[in-house]
Amino acid sequence: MKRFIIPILVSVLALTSCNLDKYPFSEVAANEYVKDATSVNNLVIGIYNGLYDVMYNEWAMTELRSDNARMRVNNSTSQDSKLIEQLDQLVVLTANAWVQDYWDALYVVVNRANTVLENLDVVNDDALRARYEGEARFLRAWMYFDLVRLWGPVFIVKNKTGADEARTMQRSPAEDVWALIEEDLETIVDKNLLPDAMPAADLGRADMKAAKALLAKVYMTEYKPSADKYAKASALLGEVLEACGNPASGSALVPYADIFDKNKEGNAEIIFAVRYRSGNVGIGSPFTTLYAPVNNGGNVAIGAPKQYNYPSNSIISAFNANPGDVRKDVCLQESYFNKTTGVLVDNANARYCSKFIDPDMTSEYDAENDFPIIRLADVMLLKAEADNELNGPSAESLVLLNAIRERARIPVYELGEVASKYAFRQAVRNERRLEFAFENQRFFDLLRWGTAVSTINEYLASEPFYAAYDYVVNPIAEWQTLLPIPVSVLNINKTVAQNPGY
Amino acid sequence: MSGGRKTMRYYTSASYTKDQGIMLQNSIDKLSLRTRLDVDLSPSIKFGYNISANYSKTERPRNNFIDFYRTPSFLPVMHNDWTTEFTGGYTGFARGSHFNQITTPTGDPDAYGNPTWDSKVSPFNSANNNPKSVMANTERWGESFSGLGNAYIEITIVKGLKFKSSNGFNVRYAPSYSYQNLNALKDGTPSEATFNSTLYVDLLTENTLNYNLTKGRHKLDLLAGYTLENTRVQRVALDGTGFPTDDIHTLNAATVFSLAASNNGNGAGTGTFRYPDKVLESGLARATYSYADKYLLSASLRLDRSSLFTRGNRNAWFPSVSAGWRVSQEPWMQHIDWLNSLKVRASYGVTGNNNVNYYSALEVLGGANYATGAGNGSLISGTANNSSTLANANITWEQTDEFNAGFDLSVLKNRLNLSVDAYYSITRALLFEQPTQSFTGFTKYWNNIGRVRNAGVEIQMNTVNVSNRTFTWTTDLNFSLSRNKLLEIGGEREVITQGERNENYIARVGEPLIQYYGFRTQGVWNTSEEIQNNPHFAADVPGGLRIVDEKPDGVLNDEDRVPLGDPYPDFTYGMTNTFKIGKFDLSFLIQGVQGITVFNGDVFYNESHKYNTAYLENRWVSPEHPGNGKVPYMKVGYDMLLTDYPLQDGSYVCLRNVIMGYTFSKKDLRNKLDGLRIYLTGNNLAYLWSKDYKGVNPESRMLSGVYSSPMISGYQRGGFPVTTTITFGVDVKF
Repeated sequence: MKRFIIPILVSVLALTSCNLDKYPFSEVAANEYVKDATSVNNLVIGIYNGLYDVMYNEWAMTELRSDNARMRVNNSTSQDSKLIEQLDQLVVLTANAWVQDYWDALYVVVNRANTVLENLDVVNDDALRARYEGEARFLRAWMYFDLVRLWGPVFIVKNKTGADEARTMQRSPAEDVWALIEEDLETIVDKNLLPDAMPAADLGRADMKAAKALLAKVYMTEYKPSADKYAKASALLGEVLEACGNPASGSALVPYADIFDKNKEGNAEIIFAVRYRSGNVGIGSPFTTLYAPVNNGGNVAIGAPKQYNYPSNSIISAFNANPGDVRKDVCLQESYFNKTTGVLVDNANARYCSKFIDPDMTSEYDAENDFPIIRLADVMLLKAEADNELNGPSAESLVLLNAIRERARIPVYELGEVASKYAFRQAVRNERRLEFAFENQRFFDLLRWGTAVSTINEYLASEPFYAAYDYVVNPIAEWQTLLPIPVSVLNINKTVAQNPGY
Repeated sequence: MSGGRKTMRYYTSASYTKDQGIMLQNSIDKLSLRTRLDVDLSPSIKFGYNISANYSKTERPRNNFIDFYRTPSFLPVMHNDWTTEFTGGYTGFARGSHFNQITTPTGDPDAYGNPTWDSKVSPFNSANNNPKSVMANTERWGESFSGLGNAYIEITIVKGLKFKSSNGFNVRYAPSYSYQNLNALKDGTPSEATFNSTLYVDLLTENTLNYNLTKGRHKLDLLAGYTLENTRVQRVALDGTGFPTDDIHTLNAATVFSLAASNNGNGAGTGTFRYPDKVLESGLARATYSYADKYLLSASLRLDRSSLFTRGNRNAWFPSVSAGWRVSQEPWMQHIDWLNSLKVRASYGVTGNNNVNYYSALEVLGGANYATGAGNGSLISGTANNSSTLANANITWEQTDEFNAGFDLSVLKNRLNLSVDAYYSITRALLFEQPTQSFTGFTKYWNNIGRVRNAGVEIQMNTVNVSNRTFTWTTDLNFSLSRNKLLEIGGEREVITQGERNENYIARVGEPLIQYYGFRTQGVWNTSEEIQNNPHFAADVPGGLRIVDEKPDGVLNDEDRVPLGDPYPDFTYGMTNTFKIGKFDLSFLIQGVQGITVFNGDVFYNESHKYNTAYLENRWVSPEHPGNGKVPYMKVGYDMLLTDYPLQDGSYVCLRNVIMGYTFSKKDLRNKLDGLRIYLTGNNLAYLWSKDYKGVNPESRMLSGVYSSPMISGYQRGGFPVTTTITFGVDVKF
């Protein structure tokens, strides 16, 4: 019998030696991972990675809801069209999947930033530790900046938060969210957490210029009238301009088309951009596929593009007001050449947002183009705007505004043309619209200036597209400038307050 | 083939099957071999093995069945002379995009009488190619090799005491591959090949010690055992594009590979490699006792340990007891001659469920990359917890206490047999994936909360209506009824979950486990004035669904949502009648489900509202032509998937199965064959469903993804239609 017992025992023992503490092979358990600066650096990269999902839908929350972009066709009833239509007409449902995705994506970045901030103690090198803290705070502040502008009061999550704790949490007043944003950015500036420029290999990660510029914009956006907000912003913007060599003319700037050229990424204009990389490595830019014309036969971009973010008649008219504006051709196209048939396609289906098109893209959603978040012109125009609000038009402000116009090859202003505070303000606002068309700035600018409702209603009434609907597209009210808290939040906690109107 | 000698028995069989589905490119080829050997080495030692090997090759069409009725039937499959001219020279397959290029003048003529174009959508708008064209340009194959082996040894140590060790493996390797030509799905879709493989390795050892004692009318059976199961899965997915030609369909010709899982929200980059594993370890003990075959008692206890849970949450005890009493065996029952047998039984037991995803209890990090550096930048690898599921280290076994009671009765010379079972169970620590506030950075987490009560009754009756030498007629009836109720859910009043179209399901305490949840509708809006003068949503337009202001506060918002019915049937039933007249036999099975509500996800498809008459008839077209005031125009207005509009009555009754046969007698065969029977069977020859139902198969349900959760069910989308099959067969024995 022995000759049977032994093999049996051996086989039983071999199997029973299995350990019940199973750790994954294909991922790494978080509690074992974070142990040194390298692992924290990887987690910081992980925060930046979360920006891809944010950017994917950000145009729909901002540009599409402004007067710059709209749907391509009306009365289409495909599912995506329904979601776009809600955003385009500012009649968003609480269950809108894109709003949910955008909300989720912002908080994923917040969570990843919180993870880094909670794990800094393993970084022994003080300089690295400061940098990682600065980057995490910058990205967290940016996310909350978007959240508070689009939703008003939101949930403040500063630490790793479990499901049970989250279930009973309530939205914090907008003041508290603004305070958190300021605290994060002011900490970076006050404690000098970030270097003025990143080392070459890290180009693209947030530096001090980005943090200062963002903080200035936060000051200028804050809803609460504060006597010194423009002064504080102006000082910070001055420092950023100083660091960028105080450009004083159009020729001192990167030519407009080069800013977005995929072969000139990281040019002098870029202060902070979301950086994409093509080549099927999972971090390509989706915007060529999202914006290029449908059925273009490969003449604009390969694949089956969506033609989202369709330029409005209104933005085209705004560009046409200054013949020869070089920015128009970069921002949008109204035709394309069909290489196969030799025909210029110039009907309504040939109009598209061309700012982030990569004609060399080889697979869908995998373009090279970076997406600028903060660039030099933004800082210059913000500085001009802040100084005008503080002291009225000045020669220094006019230099900044005119440098932008000079680069665009359109006539510069004489001081007499923009002599009043009001005239200068209007000139800057108009310039920002053209300069940053399709860069997700317009809607935020309108909110900042308090002109969103009037501008959008004028647009809805004047754009012939909306009149062609089978039903009446109604003008919007103030409450529609805020997005609804996703219904999934209220499904879990009914006591969470929805935004008014929804 | 089977056979053997006194101390050795063998069995071996081989089979080959080829089956063609109802769609093109839908077939399956199967080969299998099974062999079994049992050897008695000595009176006290037995061993044996059981091995089977299977191979199958499956071709599946790229299209769902639903793609056929999502295609405009007025467009030809292939271009004809007229469409070639109309579309400007296209030939071959008539694709939606060919018609997209045609602009249709839809505006009023301009001042000079020329046609004008407004931006209205084209009636032919579909970028998707027609399904026949897609099929002609795509291929999808799956293969599966599986080997199952199990060897045992059984040793009788002393009389009545046996040790048995059984050790086995189940290994399955299932590669699948696909190819699509350039522009196969729609214009611009690249040539693309995929390769996926799953290697599944399951090792199982079962070791038991069994003691058997019979003394007089007492019988005792004791069992102790230990089992261990280790399951590993390896998944690989590769995706290649950039083919120089559509003549080569394998990945070697691809120039671009998507290896990294995508993080930019676009689904590109499907490459993955995963290798999860888990272990389940159990110890069990069981005692069975019977006296004179009249009183039966049994008790068992089992301890399970699962690696899916963390230390301290891993173990669960599962006791059970049962008792039976054959009343008809009692001497005082013997004189009741109409009663043939009566048995009553009752049991109580605990069962468990550890069905969670791998590593749900553990926070894990995966790749999360970015680009930095000069120029176009370089790929920099990073890490993040990029799962949407929040780890929960506290999850543990879900347990169900179940009570069962029933009886079996045979009367009138076994002409009437009745079996009735009633059950009552309480499930504790319900284990499911619960939504969490996404501001945590995650959208869901596995959790153990809630108690559910299930109660029901199952009745089976068999009657022999006629039985004589030339004619027999028997009837089998079954009926079952089940009710469930949510008793508690983590101290909350309710938990709301979301399906793939954001449709909601509510688990509310005191009500059925789940119910559909959303807005009740009252027909469609007719005019803009009507909308402005009544509570409405900003997105409402004429022709869209009108939502009922359930919380009558004069405004419509999410607080107006209410439970809209549950996905559970009132009852299910079936009846089989079997007739035998001489050598002919006939049987048919009627089966049905009554009082069930399904969520028909086809409402989501734009095309359902364009081409399916069930969604077209009597619809609103304009204030002057409002239809019957109930059917919305296309998909305009409020999101229909959030309302009661997709809820339909899924009750049905069908003639599930009919068998007609003729069996030849030995005499007919003149003893040349052992047996011969020819038969004809038909499935689903008749099928009736409710007028309210607008789909093609009321039984179809989505069961994968979020729908594998017990808290989300009753949803169907793109179902495969009910298929009627007729089979002719010959059964020969020799």
